[in-house]
Amino acid sequence: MNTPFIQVVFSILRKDLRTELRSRELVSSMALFTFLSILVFSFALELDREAKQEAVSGVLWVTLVFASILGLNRSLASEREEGNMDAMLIAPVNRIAIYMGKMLGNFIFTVIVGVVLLPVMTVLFNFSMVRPTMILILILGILGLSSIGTLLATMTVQTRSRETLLPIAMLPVVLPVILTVVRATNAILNNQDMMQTLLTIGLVDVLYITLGSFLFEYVTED
Amino acid sequence: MKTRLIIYFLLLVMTTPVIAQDAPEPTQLPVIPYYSSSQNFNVPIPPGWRQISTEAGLAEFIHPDVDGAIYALAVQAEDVQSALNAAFEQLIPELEIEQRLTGVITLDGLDWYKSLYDIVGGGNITAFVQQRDSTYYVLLYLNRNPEIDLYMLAIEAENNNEQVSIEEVLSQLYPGVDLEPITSNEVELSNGTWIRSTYQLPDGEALHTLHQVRFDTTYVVIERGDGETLDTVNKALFTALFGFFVTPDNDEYLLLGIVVAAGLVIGLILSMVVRYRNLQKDERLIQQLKQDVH
Amino acid sequence: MTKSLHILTGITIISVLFGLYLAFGYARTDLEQGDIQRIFYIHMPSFFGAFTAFTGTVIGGVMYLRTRHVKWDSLAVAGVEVGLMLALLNLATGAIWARPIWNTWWTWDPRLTSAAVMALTYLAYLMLRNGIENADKRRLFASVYGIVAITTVILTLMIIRIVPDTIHPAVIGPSPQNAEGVFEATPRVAAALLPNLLIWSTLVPITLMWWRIRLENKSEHVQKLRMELINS
Repeated sequence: MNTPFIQVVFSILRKDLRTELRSRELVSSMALFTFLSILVFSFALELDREAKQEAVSGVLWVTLVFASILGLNRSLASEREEGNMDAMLIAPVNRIAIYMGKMLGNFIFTVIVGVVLLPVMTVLFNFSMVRPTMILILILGILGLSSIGTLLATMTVQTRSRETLLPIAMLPVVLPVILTVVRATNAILNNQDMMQTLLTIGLVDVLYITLGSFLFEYVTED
Repeated sequence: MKTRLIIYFLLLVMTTPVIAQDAPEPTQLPVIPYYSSSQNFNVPIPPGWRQISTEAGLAEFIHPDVDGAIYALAVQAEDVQSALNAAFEQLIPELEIEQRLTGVITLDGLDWYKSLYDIVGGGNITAFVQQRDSTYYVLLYLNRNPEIDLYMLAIEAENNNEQVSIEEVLSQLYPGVDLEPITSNEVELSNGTWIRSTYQLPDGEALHTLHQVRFDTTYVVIERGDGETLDTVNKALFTALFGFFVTPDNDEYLLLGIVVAAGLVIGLILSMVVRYRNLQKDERLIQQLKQDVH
Repeated sequence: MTKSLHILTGITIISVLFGLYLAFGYARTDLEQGDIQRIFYIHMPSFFGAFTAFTGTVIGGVMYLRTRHVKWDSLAVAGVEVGLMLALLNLATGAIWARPIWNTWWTWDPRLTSAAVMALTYLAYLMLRNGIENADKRRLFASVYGIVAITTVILTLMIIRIVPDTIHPAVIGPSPQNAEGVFEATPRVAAALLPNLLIWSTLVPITLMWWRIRLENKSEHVQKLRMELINS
């Protein structure tokens, strides 16, 4: 551990952000995907106002999960193709720092998409979604998705079936996150108390980040 | 060091099921004894009443203060009417009866046919019949006291007006009755709040009623007489009617469950056996090839 | 080792038969639900059997990552296969019970859904395993996923706390409403349930996993022979 932990995390994060700023490929494709699926949802479900109220948080989170999967697959696949991952792994740095860097990258991209999504959904579903508490839920929920997603994606990009395996492996495992965040989102939209649910999400986040940090070093072994 | 941390962490996680298992406390209600017959029906024995039947598949409840009995039995029949006739044939073959009123009510999603009879020479019968396939379950109250009439009725209020429903029934049972109650007041019984009213019959006799509305059904007990038996019988019949249930016959599903469960276990074992066999075959082949090479 | 496995297998078979006798002979028919209620004596114990097996997967996974000894990976894969079978058994018996009682094979009840997701997670485990050709990498990734997957098992156990609107019943069935009291619980439920719970949560998964580990050892052995043959 020659390079300090925080420095490694930020240099990886900075690299990801800079690449993204230059190409704008990842966030734009994630955002486009989410807009499209929200549109498809709102047409396909043919909801009346009341049903929309009930469906809106489910739609938001299912879309975000898929956007996160999309982003993870792309970012880790390109990392592998360009050989960056191998370079990073050879370097004498803490694996947990690499994990944190990659995780934060995906986290930030998905949060950006989520934040952009809120006004769009407000317009499409005619339901006020832009609230400070929503941002908090987005941050906590997406933290859960990215933490376990980064771990699983690092594994699945090394398998034969690659992109197809990540959703299969990830969807069942993120169910605790989806369940709790949908519940919390509903509570916010109906102006109910959601402290209990927030606490559960926080616990799940801690659990997933712990699991991810400890197990990451094994999925990057060669 | 790190792996030990993981193990401690996982052990901690493993204890969560223990914490998670405690379910919310169920509300405590008094346990009441049931008569469970060999004919698959179960009927609660109302507090204060005694089961005296020695016949299998027949329940007979009596009360020291009441000249009458509650019966529950199952009969095989073609339709409701023949089921009732068969029940009467079994219980009171010597008595002649005539029908007064019939109808249907739905209770907990199940249809009950209701029927009122008068016994020629005094006394009367309130009967409820439920059908399950070709079996008819009959729950009836037989009033043997010639001094009084005692009917129990459940009316599904179409017009949502309990008073109208009761007046309809009263005028049907006792033509000429004065439909304006003399007295009417709320009484608190162990099975809820009831309205107790008295009416005047043309011949000067009094008619006592107790009624209550539950959901969209009005329950009425009517007594012509001194009104002393009303409360006891009302409570008992209510308990018996609401507590009555038939044990469902679902052996075929149990059989299906056993077959599927056995299939899954045997499936896993067989797949393991097959895989083992194949490996043995491979092993023999490899050994053979090895010898050929040497 | 082989002898003790045979003895254990004998004990398990006898115990399972004894448990079946308790469920189908000794226990009285549930008067409210009818004979179908007897499926419960297998339904609930099989879930705990699955829990035992999946716990085996976690232990196998952690120990493999620690020691890199193949035997721990065999334990993990044995736990997944046996646990998956028991989880499917749990789901199937639940659906068959629900048909006459709830009048539907399946409802999107939180606990049912999470139990189904749990089974799917372990199917995903098997897919992941099949997707990796390199044996060391396969064992590594499988160990990691086996550890992560236990969260869905814990979720299934805790879901009643997170999403309380489940209609999944408590241990003893509902009582007839509106009557002036409750119906006495069917006698002998606990006496028939506890031995079954013990048998299905320990003996059955452990015996099956032991046999599955032997199969895995055989497979490793044959693989080694094949390698030797190719290299010679």
